[in-house]
Amino acid sequence: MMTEAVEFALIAALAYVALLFALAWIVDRRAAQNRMRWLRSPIVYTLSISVYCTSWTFYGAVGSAVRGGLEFVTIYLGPTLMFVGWWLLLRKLVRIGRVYHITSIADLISSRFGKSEVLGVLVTLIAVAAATPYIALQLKAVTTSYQVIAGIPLDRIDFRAGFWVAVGMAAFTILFGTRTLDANERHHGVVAAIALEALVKLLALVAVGVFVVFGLFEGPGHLFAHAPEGYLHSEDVFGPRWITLIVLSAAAVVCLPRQFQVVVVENENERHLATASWLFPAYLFLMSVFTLPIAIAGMTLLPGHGDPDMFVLTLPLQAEAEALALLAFLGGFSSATSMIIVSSIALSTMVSNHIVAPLAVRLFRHRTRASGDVRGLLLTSRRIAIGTLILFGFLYFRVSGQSDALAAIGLIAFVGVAQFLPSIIGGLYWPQANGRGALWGLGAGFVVWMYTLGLPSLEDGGPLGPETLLYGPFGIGVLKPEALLGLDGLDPLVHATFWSLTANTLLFILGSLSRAPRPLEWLQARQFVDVFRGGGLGAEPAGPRFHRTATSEDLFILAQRILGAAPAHDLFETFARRQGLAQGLPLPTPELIEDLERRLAGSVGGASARAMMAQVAGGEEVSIDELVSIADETARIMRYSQALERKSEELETTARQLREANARLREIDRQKDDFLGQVSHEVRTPMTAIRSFSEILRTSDDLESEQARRFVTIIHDESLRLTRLLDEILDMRVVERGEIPINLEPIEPDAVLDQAVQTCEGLRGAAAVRITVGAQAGPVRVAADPDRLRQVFINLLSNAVRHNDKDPVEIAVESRVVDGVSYEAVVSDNGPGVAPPDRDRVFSLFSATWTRAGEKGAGLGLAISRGIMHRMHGDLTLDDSPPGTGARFRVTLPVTTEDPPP
Amino acid sequence: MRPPAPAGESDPDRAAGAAAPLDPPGPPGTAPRRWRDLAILLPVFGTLLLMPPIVALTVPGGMLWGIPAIVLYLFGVWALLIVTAALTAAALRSAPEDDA
Repeated sequence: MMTEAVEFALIAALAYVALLFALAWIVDRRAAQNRMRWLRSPIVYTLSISVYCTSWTFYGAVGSAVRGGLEFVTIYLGPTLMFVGWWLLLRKLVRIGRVYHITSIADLISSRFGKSEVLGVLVTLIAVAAATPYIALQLKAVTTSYQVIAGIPLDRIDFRAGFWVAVGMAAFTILFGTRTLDANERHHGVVAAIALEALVKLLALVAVGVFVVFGLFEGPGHLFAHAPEGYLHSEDVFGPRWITLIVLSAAAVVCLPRQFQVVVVENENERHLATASWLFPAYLFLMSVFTLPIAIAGMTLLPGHGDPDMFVLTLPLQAEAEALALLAFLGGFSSATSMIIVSSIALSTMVSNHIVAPLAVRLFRHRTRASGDVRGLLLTSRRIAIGTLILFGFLYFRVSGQSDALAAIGLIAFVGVAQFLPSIIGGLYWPQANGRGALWGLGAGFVVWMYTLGLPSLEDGGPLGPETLLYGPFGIGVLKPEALLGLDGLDPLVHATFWSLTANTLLFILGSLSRAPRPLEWLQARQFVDVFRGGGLGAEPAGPRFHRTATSEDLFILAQRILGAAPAHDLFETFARRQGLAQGLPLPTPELIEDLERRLAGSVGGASARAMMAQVAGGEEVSIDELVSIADETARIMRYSQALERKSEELETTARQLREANARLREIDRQKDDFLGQVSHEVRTPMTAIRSFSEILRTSDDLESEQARRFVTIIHDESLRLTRLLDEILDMRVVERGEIPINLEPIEPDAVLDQAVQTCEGLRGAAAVRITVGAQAGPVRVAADPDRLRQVFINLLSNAVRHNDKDPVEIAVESRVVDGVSYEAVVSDNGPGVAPPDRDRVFSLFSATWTRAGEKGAGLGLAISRGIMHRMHGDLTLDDSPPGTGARFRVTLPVTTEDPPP
Repeated sequence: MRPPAPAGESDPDRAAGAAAPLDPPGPPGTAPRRWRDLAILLPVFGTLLLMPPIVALTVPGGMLWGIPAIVLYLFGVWALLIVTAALTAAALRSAPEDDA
């Protein structure tokens, strides 16, 4: 029986769908001309995230509020917490998604764990298993709501509405959702339609809510006064199920394939996430703020009037607000269709990239390769996958539509996709996590989920029969699906979540620890875990590279097959320009191969891109040690800090040396000042004498010749002293510059020593001097200048005499050969010796000891002597001796075997 | 942050601001650090407030403006989270990207 209302709802729905098609078509066209900038705003991004709110939440939240009070809120609180905490997880996910061109959640997990194809398939299977009933649920919601608004009794389901919605959405998605192969390129038409639908469902729900609170009741106080006795006053709701639901919904807002698609894959700008971090929770807030009022109003005004899930629709109908009812219907319709569209896009990408593409790589290895053939194949497979998925959804609805099984499917799907969470979190923060761990964890989680939740949701326990549910398989009670290991008395959802996530996490960790990561796994782990350390966006992701070789032609052909001819051409032109080439193909550097693989991964997924690249460029052959040595963060930091330490040590040494040199310079400077002072003084004394005596000679006429002669003698002596002084200064300068001529010849040093001793015996003055010649080295030869060596010995002997206050002066001379390689002569005396602080200074040119010696005219001798000895490759040193025991000077010279000249 | 003072010689703030900025930016990276820490802690606070046992504390509470206290509590915490997140996001968005 077709009534007017039916036709009107039908027309409205059709018009609405037509509007969506038109909007998508126009936006797609205009976006191609780059005129749709508002589509790239954070608000549109946030609205597209709201595909989270499906018809299950649009209609079902009220039903849930009727049955469980405040429990419905958990489905929104989980996502709120996840988005409010975007800085922790979402930000990293989005960054990785953008840097590594992640195409889906299956691609994320497969790429992270060594671009594993098996993981891609497993994740795709779990996602499809969770999403197909979910799509069925949307079709059921649309069908039911259509029947409600059209006045068709609900006891028989009219599948036609569901069927046509399925067909319409499949057409829409295929038409606007498979325009491009690159998942990171947004489908602008789809985005615009989703954003419109998000606004419609929000507007519809808020309108119904306002109508209920202020139209049907007189404000919130009045409304809550009508709540059933004890409603909202039970603490039971805040139990394990509350916690479980918040955790599950928080996981779902990331792990649901459609959520991952809108949040990560289609993100265009990381800053949009910052806006969504509060705007999306605000959207959810508005979506749920009227849920309780609608539920209470339904319970009050529609006692026993059917399905509480349909209160959003039945309340306006009851109040004869038909326009509002129609708006509510369109809101529910929007939530259902937007979910179907985005889900099927996300799932079809996964199916084509992780199931079809790997098969194609294997099957068509030896086929001829045409430009764009892979692209065509994948796009076709995506279109077929979209149709198939929606068809499966419809069939599922058709088969189980009469039962209540579908109602629970939303949460069952949440538990299913929550199995991705351990792998994602572990993969993003734990570098040791590897493919085996992910495979074990996901596999176990999937099996436990199916067994504890999927199986009981089927009618009569599905293929295993109802006995299994009651008594366990083969009567083994421990394995009862809803009381695993005897864990009884829990809500089935809590039970299933607990066991599946526990098994999943445990096996994920154990599997990861059970073997070392493979090189590619290790590399991917580094790149994902350290994504914020690899430099900002746009920069090349840092890190090691595999060294693969391929010809530019092969790479170009590969790019053409996947991207199509024109885009591949453009891409390679960009590459060539970046390499500074004016024309032709770019050079096939490892950087280029990696960059190309990353771009291809944006179309076919990481695992397939790697497999295709391997056919062209060969596999990655590198040991993990090599990778570790070049890229390990810790090693890099250690090396850096070691280098720093070395540098700072160097600096410290240099600074110390500089300080020492400075001190030396100051000392020398001081000595020089002393020296100049002394020299002036020493020069001045004889000059004064000479001047005064010559003055007397010049002015006095009556000098006796005897006296005059004495004066002239004094003048003469003083002039001699002056000359000697100047000679010594001159000599010292010469030695200092190494300009003394020294002729080395093999001589017997003892002979020179004896001569010197004899010479000095003639020098002795008033005091008695006793020179004792001790042991002698004997017939040994050294290379030396005999005259200079004699000068050194005489200098030492005369010093011993002059700087001595004893009477008699005793000098001991002895010589020997040390180790057969050096000759050593020691001159010691019984004088006061040299005080320890002066030991070094006696050898310096401007020594203060010069003062005392100056009078006797031999202060510079030691410095000159040491200079001479150095020139002869020997040395002159002063032994350490206790004060008061006299000085011991030691002359050393290397022994030579040369014969003396004939 | 203070908005830049409008041009004009008579504006006393401007002169003071030129001599010594009233809200000097810290060394690079320190100004948004407090916000970043808040961004990390926000979900922790939220979880604490929305999970038992704290969330159940207001259940026996009476009505406020005719609305049960637990409802006001839940939606109040929710709104608070949204507002704080909005402030945090605004602060972090203007901050330079990247951290370890």
